[in-house]
Amino acid sequence: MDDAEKKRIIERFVREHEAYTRSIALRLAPNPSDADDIAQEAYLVAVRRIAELDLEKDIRPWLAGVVRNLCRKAWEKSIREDKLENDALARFVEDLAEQAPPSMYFDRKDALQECSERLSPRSRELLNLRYNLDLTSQEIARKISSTSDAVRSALLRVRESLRDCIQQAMERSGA
Amino acid sequence: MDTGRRAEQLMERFLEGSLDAAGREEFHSFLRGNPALAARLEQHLDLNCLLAEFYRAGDFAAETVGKILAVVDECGEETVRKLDACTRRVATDVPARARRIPWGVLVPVAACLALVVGALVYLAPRENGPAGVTVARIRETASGVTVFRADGRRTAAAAGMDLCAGDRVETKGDERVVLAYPNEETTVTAGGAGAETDLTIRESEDGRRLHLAKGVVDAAVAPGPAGVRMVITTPHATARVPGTRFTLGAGADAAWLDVKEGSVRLRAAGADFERTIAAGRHAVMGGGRFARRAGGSLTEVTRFDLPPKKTLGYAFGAAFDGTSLWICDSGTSTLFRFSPEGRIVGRTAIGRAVSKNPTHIAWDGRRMWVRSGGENRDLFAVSPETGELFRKITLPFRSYALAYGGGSLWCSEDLGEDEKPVERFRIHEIDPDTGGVRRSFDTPIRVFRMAWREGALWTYQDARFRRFSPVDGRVQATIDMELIHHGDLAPAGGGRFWIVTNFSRRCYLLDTGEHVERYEMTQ
Repeated sequence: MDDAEKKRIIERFVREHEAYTRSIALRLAPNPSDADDIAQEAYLVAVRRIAELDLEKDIRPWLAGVVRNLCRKAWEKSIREDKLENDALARFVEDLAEQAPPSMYFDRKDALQECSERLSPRSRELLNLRYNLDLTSQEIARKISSTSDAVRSALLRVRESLRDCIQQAMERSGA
Repeated sequence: MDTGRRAEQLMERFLEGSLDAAGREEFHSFLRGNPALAARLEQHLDLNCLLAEFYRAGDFAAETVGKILAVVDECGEETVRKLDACTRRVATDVPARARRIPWGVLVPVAACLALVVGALVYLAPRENGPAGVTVARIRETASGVTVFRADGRRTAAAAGMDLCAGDRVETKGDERVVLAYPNEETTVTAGGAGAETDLTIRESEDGRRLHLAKGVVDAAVAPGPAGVRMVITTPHATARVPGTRFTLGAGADAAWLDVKEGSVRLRAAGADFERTIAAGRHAVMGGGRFARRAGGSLTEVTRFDLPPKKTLGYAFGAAFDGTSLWICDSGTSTLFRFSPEGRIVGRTAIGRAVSKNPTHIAWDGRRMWVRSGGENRDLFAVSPETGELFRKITLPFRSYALAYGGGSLWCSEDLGEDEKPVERFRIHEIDPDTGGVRRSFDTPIRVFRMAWREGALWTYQDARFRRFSPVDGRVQATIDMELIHHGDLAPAGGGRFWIVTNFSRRCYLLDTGEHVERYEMTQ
């Protein structure tokens, strides 16, 4: 097996589970910027333990368990570092994520593309700064000469506008 | 600051990961006594997750593949083979997350399970009977059909035989076997027409997850309350089926689908979207082609990956100048010049000439036109080599797509309200010298991206190329895609287009073939 073939197989494996693994990590990680590291670590655990897995079954429930454990550890670490005595918020968020109905990921991703194109340039810029450049509200505020409170409120409104638009787009497509 | 606003601020800080210990405690105290706030947090977590995916997808896959390759070198080739086997076996539909079951539901469910177990004990296992709970029954079968039980037993299929999750059915030649689901009219006929068929009932609560490794199934799925009643995976595609009638085939290099009634949602393996195939339509996925429609074909000439996001952030806008592909990075207001092989051969900052977040570009033979500015009303003509501003036009409408052809600029206008989706767009032909509108017409399709080629306008949206008239907006031809859902469009000469997708971080050069007129006419 040559390197290109190896890479192709691994890429297919990663892409197969990417949306599922990352969406769980993004919901459960203490910090969104930790989520991708946790999802990648889950993949590495899977690769190292592939010999133990029952390949006749869908491995995603197992992957989800690995992600949950890694997120729990990340919360514990973050709590220790912040000297917080309990992790009530972490448990609350974990419960929320587990109770959430399954999201129609692929439909919603398509709808998001459409809806993001309808945003005003200012809204798009905010999303770009927040999610593409990974800036905090404070950093964004400095960049666009605003206050961090105003940026947070604006981001919240942009997401709510996107949520409504996505819902409409999905209703229209019958999803 | 009132408590509502304070809670919003804490929520946003939580979502961006900047909430300190005191803030976390305060936010948790808000959440505890406020279910509406908890529901709102849930929605924002969901959107946050989707947006993070939207903006960061490409880097993640590439980085993860790199890390796994390093581990694989330690673990050996066998690991890769297992990964390959694992990927082939996994059903490609996204499973529901585990939910907590309330006791009010758990008790009746447990009672039902007890009844089922009791019934199974009462009936006693028959020879060659299923190892688990029956999900389907063989209604008719040819003599040579074989059933491979989940527990490893192998037996000849017989009418009346029960099947459970994990069981596999194999047919050869013209043999057929008809599976029926209890208490409804759903049937799945496997095999026939000389096709060797290999069909497995996968693990699922209702037995409605099937895997067709090869061969053909002819299914009539009874409608029911749930949207998707059955999911059938093949090595090349996944079909999600509401109540409908269809035939699905799985070959060595492709899956194909004929829908007779209703519709089926089909997704190619590795694709990030689904297509809805309506009654009377035929779809092929795989086989090295993007689409096969009515005698025409759309082939991939080449592709390359976009550079990492730290180099090129948000690709939004593409143009081809005859030798190079230009891609606009909306985040940094930079034009990137690529060789057809995917090498960056130049980059030009245009942020000083144009307003922030440029999003569409078009090449007129000597200048690059860029859409940007407040409310998307401004078009800028710049030098792609130096970033020098030649001209600025302010349009009397908010524009979306941008193209250049026939001596005119072409812009689309969304006729919907702000950020509300509608189905109507207006196309404007603009004089590039004066900025005046020469002509306008409405079109029934959504035009977020547009290109000019050989006297016609082309758009690419929802995994479909459409050629439409620059005179009246009438759609003249469509070509379906199977792997790319959205992307920026740049005519590349002849029958070719570049498609640049920020989602999958790839550029494709596609050939529509020489005979565009042979594609299915939609009107």
